[in-house]
Amino acid sequence: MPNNEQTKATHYIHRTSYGFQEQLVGAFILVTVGLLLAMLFAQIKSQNIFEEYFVIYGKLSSAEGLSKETIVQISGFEVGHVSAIDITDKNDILLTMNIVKRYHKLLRTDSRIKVSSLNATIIGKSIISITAGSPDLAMIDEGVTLAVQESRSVEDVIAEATETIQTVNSVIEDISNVVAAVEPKKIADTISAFQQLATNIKDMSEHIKTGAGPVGTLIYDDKSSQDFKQGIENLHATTVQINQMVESLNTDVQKIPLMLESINAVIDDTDETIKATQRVWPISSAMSGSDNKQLITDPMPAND
Amino acid sequence: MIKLKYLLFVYLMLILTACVSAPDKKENPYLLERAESYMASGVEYYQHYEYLSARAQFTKALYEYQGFNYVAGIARCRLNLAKLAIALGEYDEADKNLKLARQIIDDNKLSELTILADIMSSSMAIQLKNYASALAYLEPYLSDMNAVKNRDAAIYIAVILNRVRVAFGLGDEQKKWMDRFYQAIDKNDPGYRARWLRFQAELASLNNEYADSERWLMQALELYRQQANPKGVSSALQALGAIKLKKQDWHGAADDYENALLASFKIKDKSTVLEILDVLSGLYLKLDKTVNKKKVDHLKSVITEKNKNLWYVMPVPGI
Repeated sequence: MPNNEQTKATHYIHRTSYGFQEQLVGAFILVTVGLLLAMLFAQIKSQNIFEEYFVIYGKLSSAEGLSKETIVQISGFEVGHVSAIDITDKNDILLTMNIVKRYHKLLRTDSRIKVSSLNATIIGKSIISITAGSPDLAMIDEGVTLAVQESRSVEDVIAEATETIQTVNSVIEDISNVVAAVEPKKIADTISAFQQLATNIKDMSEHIKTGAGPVGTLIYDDKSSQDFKQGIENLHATTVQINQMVESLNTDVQKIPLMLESINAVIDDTDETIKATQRVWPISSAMSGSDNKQLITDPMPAND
Repeated sequence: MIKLKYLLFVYLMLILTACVSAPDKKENPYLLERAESYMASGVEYYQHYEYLSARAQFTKALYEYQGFNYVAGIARCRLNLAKLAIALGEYDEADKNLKLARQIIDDNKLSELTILADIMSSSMAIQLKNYASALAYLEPYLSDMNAVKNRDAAIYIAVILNRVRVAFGLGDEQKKWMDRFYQAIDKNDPGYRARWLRFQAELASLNNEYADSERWLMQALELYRQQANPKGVSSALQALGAIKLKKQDWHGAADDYENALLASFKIKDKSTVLEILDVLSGLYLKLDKTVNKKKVDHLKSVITEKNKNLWYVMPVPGI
């Protein structure tokens, strides 16, 4: 029975012949190589290396954040890239955009091109977005030049922020005027009233100290000494309780050896777990083969 | 249609389950573990030329195995002790252990150990210049070399190596068996390469091509030095000394034999030490080194005297 259990626990691969293992390894290698090739092909495909392109042009006033690597998107899809940036005779910027041919149908006469300069400031590169046109309209021809709608530049945003700051400044100035309008005499009167209140509190304290009034009696009466004795007795009772707690603690301390035994059992379990882990590839491959004891000397002649 | 990523997931799962499930470690009983630990330790000592320590470990292992009548262990122990005795040049002891090992092997049908016993017997026969007997031990394996080769490459090389030694002993077919040996060995293994160079040198020496022979022996010597192999160093130096003897370069020959003596002394190889002392005795006579000759002769008498097991603590004469 134990042998059967052991057989069940062992992975089937360790019960197969060497030849079968070789075939299995070969099959896995072939499948892996196939997968790698498939992944490579998918990667090439995703980069549109074998795709056909058509060219359109875009005209704009600033090439900020644009480069030959700038991506062209239609409705969020990456459909091409900028292949050249030139300057026209009228000092405009002319972008040459290569668009994958199979997305041509998305470009209709009502398609608009936008470039976001803010992207260049925030993520370091601009993206050219083209809106997908209405399917009812005609497709745009290859080689046409479209006007590029430029979004607000950083300078525009800063100019807007400057206006806001000016507004904030004027608000601060108003607050300053309000503060200046406050009368110092009224504030002096208020402080004087506070001083009077402090004097009254001092008088009350002196009354209590002399034992006058209910509060003074409570604090300075002879009975207070008896109360103190009572407090000492309470303290004694507390000490007794602490002793009981210490005894309880002693009982707990006696349990420590038992706990240590439990810990030892846990350590043994951990040891087994570690040994099992050592048998797991790739950890096992990094361990020296202590199991393979050489029990017989090598067959080479000893007297040669 | 099943998506590719699910197929990939299943495929990787299959790979991982095979990877993480090494077979459970077989736990041996304590006494067996202890005996095998002695054996492994003895083998390690043997590999490091610590023959006496190896013998102590093998003896302890033998007692352990005998304690629970573990015949496979006892047979291996006897073979190890026999091999050790051959390395020390104690052929009577080797023969005794070999006979006991063979008896256990035959009684218990431990046929996989027979070839090891036969290689040892052939080695002993070669040492005693009984080449016909050595050949008889090797013959069964030489007729079906592929079977031996497929079973264990090291055993195959050992059989061929002894066959080459027999060929030199009989003075027949040396080249043929040397070629077989060359084909069998790993050319990048310095130990095998050095042995091949020594065979080359021996063949050249037979053809009186002493310059070539010396050149190959020097190369072999260098390889043995790099491997810190006293046995190989001693053999190469003895062969160099033998060539110098043929060339009547007595001083050169004495130097080589003295260094060979040191190497053999280091590993307590009694048989080789006696052979070298014989040669040195004659050389000192020729060189008129009478004091050295007396020391050599005295050492020989000590070694050959019975119950003088600690001969190797004596000073090495002539150095």
